[in-house]
Amino acid sequence: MTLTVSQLRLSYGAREVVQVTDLVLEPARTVCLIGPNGCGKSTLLKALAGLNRPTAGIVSLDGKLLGSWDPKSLARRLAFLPQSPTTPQGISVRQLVAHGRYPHLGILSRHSTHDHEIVGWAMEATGIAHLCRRDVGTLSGGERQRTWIAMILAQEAGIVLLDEPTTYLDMGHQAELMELLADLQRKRRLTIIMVLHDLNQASHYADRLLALRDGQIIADGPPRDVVDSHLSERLFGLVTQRIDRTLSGRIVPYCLPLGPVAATPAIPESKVDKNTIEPAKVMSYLEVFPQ
Amino acid sequence: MLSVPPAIASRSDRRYAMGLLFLSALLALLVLASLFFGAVSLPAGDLFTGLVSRQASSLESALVWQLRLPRTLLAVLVGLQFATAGLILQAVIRNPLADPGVIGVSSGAGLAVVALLLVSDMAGADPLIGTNQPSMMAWLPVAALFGGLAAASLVLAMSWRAKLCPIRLTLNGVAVGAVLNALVMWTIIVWGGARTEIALIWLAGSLYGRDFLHLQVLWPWCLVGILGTLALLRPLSLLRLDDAVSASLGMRGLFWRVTAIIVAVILAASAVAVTGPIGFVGLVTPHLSRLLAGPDERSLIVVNMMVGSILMLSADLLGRSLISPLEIPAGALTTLLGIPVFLLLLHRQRRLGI
Repeated sequence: MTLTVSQLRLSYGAREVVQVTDLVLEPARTVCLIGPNGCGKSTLLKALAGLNRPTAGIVSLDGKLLGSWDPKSLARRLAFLPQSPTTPQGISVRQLVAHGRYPHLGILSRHSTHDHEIVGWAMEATGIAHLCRRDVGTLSGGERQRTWIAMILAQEAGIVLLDEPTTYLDMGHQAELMELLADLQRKRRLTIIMVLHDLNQASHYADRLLALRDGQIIADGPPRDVVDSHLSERLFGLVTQRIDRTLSGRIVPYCLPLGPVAATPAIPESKVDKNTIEPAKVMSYLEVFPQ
Repeated sequence: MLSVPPAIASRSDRRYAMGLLFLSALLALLVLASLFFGAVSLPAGDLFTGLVSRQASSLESALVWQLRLPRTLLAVLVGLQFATAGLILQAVIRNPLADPGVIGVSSGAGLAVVALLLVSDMAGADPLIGTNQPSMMAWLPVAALFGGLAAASLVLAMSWRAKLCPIRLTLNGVAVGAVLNALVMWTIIVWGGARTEIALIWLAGSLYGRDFLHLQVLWPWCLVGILGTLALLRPLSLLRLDDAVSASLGMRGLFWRVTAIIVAVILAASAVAVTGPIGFVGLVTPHLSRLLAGPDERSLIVVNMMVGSILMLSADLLGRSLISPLEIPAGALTTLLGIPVFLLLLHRQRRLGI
């Protein structure tokens, strides 16, 4: 299952927010969308989920326009979770997770044994099985977010779109959630496309990083090729020091914030646009934190 | 129940079955009480023979068949309808304070009734048409029904461009309701004729003097409403989620929201047409039922219908036996009883920290 975008333009009223000429999202990868507030990353994600009508261009899944899919069969292939969704009053964890089975059911059919098993599995996988009878409104932020993730899992879609899944979570719970997603991605061969606002988090977990500014993709590639101070300056106006770390044979770049661009000497625009990184500007993890 | 381990499932199923049994017994008891008690007290034996023989000649039979039985049946249906409409609207508008008044049904029906009474008053004064008021009175529920439907359609049309977004729907509903209520009051005050009293009595909401004619107007709408509610079972719980979430689960949100509102309007408008506006049954019943039924949507809808009937029957029963042979309008009584119950619920919710 491959999501394809071509000549896409998205706007709110007369204001154009996103322009993407060409984008192909391969299956079984983790793609992170990153960019400053208001750069259009959530809007693009919604369009990928088929929830935004493009002003021009197309978004298609397996060569078929998202708009021409039957809603339920699209939902069996593609799941979307908005940023901090509202929890209905008095709903139990199991009920919320069971909503994920909606696209698999006819209008009057009841949940089958298979549906029950999937719901049970989704709760096990996200570690919330012991909370199944609790009211979602009484859960902690981390538990609630895992409940929503479980609902998406119960949907059994191959492509999962997440809008800032770590918002309002503390660092520990953020790491826990990201590990959970990475684990699920590996085991279920999911395609995960998510908006993150933490560059280092995105760098850590993404196979491919898409950086958006003013509605346009300004960098696209594996984190080790695109993450550096150039990127953080263009995205966030922040000068950073890149620190490389090797995690299970993979180079993961981190950005240590140094200060806003205005306070540090500017880098000429001509040097900014290339994606290759000068080795001299990269410090290794061991240099910065000698053991 | 959804995917509950067998042990827990059977336990909560048993609790649910016990609850249903209790509610059915209570409902049956209230139906009997409603047939027994009234301005004229009947011995149980006479009541029974009256019920069975159905000979119009005997007083008992006439009393039971023409007054108490239709009134009892109406209370059951109307209570069920208000409660179900309230449950649906609370889900659609995502507001626990929603009730059938929120989309203008009661006000629309009120205006239609007052207008009809005004017209019939004028017609009564007209030498050509003469005094055929009885036939005019037969049209009262029909007029109220279409008044309610028209007001709700207006609210829906006004909210259509906002894709029936819950907040816009509520605001438009409240605005339309307020304007229509003002028109009702204005008509009553300016007109000031002999029929103001009838209008005021109707606006208080009561089952006094309702007969099989009203039942005939009501039952087809009730049936359609209940069938519609059954079709809504699953979409209704998804409508409580954010639009983006329900859409990504593959639900046609706008379609189901319109369907749900239409079902609620059918239930509420036909009920209002028969009894006049009855406050608080639609608002309080879903909350009470949620305490009794737990979170499962299927059991909630059934329990909610029964609790609605029980509340309406008890209100009517109390209303006509407290100061017998006079009557307190059931609508006034439900509001009087409803407010303390409602405050209690609010208090409870605050304690639970919801």
